[in-house]
Parts: sequence; structure tokens; C-alpha cells
Amino acid sequence: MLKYCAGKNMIIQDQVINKTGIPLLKKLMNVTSASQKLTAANIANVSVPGYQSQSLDFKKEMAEAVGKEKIKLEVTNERHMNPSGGPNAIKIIDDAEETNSSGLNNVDVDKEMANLAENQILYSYGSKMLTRNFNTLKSVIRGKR
Amino acid sequence: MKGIFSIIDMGASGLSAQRKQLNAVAENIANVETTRTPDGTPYKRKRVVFEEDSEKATFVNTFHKAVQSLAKTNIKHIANDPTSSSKEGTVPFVDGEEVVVEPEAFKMVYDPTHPDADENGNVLMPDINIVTEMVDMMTASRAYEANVTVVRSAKQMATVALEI
Repeated sequence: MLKYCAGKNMIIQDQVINKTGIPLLKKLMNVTSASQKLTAANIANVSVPGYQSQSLDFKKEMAEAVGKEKIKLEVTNERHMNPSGGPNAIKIIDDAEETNSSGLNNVDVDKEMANLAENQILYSYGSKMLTRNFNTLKSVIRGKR
Repeated sequence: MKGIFSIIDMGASGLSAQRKQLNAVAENIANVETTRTPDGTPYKRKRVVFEEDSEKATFVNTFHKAVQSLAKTNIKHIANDPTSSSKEGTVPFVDGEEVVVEPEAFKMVYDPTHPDADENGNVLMPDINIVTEMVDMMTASRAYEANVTVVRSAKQMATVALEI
């Protein structure tokens, strides 16, 4: 019974969910929230001497989700875990800039605040679009206007 | 949600560090003419040193330490070590520590009527420069605002995530 259900879930995942924008939006929200965390760390550590500011490559992370550069694991057995559902490691990179004008560390507060605002908007966008996607699916399932 | 709460924790660590700095500044300005302290010297300036703090006892970190890993009795079992899967440690929180600055010399002010004046009429005053303190105050208060913005943004993100 359990096996049957798992297979069914797989089909729904493959044939329905993965054909919508949901996986991409999921990735978008994951990436923006990870990026938000790094930005928060950079802002919190703005007065720490010698702190190394960190960020992530948004384009690269999203490109992986869109399908470019993606190494996909084959699902040859229904007991295999779905690679798109697994925890996606997001690569954190150290910013290369030298110490900025403060002479303390290389955190650029203006840049970080801009990042913060941008991420917040992208995250809200992801959330709103996800709601719409789910609502579309819901109305298809209900089958009535 | 774990991610968003850790953003709030991060912002909170920044807020607390900057608040310590503001406290130190307030204390310095309040004691700008204090000539009597328990050590018998004029007041000594305090300042806050900021440092990275990766091992902060936040809820998430404490939780990860408390979670028992599942016993691995068969090689086919998937490793479930909660500490290894957690990447919390790579992003440092911040912590501020208040230190007393030993002054090179106290300020000598000529004021013969002062009760603490020496035989030449000079009083030793704390070595506090109001301008430096004001600059420190502005820096701390701007950094505090930036952290407030971070927390507000994290809260807003949590709210929209709940609307899905």
C-alpha cells in the first residue's frame, strides 16, 4: 500500500508539479532566503575588524534550477529519492574586494542594504507566484469555474 | 522557516552588539567630568570590541546539539548526523565585548576651586573626547538601524511565506 502511494506521489510530482513553475519558485525562495541570511550576517558584522563579507552567486544558483549546468541524478527505481526534492547545497563565496573606505573590513553597507531590499522583493514575488500556481492547480483539480 | 529565524537571530546579534556600543558611548558622555571612581582615578573611557561569534547559543544551534542522531545499525541506513547537515556554523554571528581603555594620560584642567584639585590648582579629568564619542554614537546608531531593517525584512519574508 505504502509502495503504491509512494509511486502515485511520484507521478503527481513528475507529471503535475514539475510541469509548473513550482520547482523553480521553490528554488528562488531557497536562494533568496539563503542570500538574505548572508546579507544579515554581513550587516551584523559591519563593525568587526577584518571580517570577510560573504555572498552567493544568484545567477549561477538559479541557472542550475533552470536546467543549464545541471547534473541530474537518474531516478531508475521508485525508491530513489527525487533529486530535485533533496536539500540543495548553496555555495557561499567570499567577496574578493579589499578593505573598503572604513578601513575595518570589506562590508559595503549600501550594497548590502540594496541586496536586502532586492531579496525581500524577490522572495515576496516567489511566494505570491507560488500561491498563484497552487491556485491554478487547485482550480484544475476542482474542475469548475 | 529555520532559515528565516536564523536571519532574525543574526539581526538580533547585531542589534545587541550595537546596543552595547551605544551603552558604552552613553556611559562615556555621562561621565565626561567624573573625577572620582572606586579605584581613585578619574573615569576611564569604555569602548566595545566587536568579534565574530560562530558558536552563538541560538535556538537553532542549541536545538541541533540537543537532537540525537539516529543509530546507524545497517550500512544501507542513510547517515543522519544533524550537526553535519547543518551549515549554520559557516555564517558568523556578531558579539560585542565592553573593555576599559587605559588612558595614556588624563586631561589636566586648571580649576583651583575644584575639590579634587592638587596644590597647583590642576584637576585630572577623564580622557574623553566628545567628538569621538558622538561619531561612535552615530556609527552605532546607523548600524543599529541597518540591523532593524534586516529583522523587519525577515519578518516580512516569514509573513509572505505563510501566505502561500
